[in-house]
Amino acid sequence: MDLTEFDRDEILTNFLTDYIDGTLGRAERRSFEEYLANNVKERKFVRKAIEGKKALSQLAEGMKSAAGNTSLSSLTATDEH
Amino acid sequence: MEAISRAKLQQLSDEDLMEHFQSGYEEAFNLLVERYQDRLHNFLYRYTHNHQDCEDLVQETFFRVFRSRHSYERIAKFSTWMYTIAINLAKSLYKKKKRMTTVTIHKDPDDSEDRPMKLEDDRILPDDSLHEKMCMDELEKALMELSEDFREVVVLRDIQQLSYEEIADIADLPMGTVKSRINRGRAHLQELLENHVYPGTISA
Repeated sequence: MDLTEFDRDEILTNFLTDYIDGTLGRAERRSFEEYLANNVKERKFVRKAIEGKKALSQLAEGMKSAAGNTSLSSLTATDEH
Repeated sequence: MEAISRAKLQQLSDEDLMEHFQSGYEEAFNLLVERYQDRLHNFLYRYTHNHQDCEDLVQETFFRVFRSRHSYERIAKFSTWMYTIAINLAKSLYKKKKRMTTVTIHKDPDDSEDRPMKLEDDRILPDDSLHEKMCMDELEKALMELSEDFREVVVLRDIQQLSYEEIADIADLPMGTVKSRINRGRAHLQELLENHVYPGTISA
């Protein structure tokens, strides 16, 4: 994967993290989107990071519904070695 | 010591349960096991990709929590402390497995009766479930292809939903590195999925 400005600038990384988490204020979000509009490599990276996060959320949901298959009922606090 | 009912214990935070466990209430430990065993299993599965291995690791993690209960101090969140134990165990297992020699059984070309063995799944899945399972399999596969550095942090963030601070504690990394790795890990995962032609995540 190519290096982007996010690898060089911690402030931009913080912006990106908050953007993906949806915690940027309206003005900050607009500034960040303007920045992305002018930087193709970074825009592509953000698109992939967002899609990757969605995929991971999908996996987490799938795992939640599969939960319960795991049984550790044999584990109890009965002995200490 | 005043007896505390299970119902009362259930209302306590993890950290309060640990304090009760440290004072001798083993029921508090059992409740922590109930709270975390599935989450821990799911978390460790990202590392091992093997249910038996992660079941062993979950048991070992709880055993260590049990044994080391007096070394836990309330300044750390219980979950952070426990995940740190689990990650260290998973990493040790990974290193141990890497050192092991792999033995593969090949088909004997001189034996006409020796055919490749077919393992059939007797559960016939309806189309939707099959598609869903295939998508999940692709996701699992892509996640396992991520380097350990990336996988560790994206699993903690997007699967276990821990805070950045907790992840920084567990992975023993500066916050900036944690955030950068999470973003790169997500983007790299998406690249892998696109390479696998996983249609659900490709944007128009």
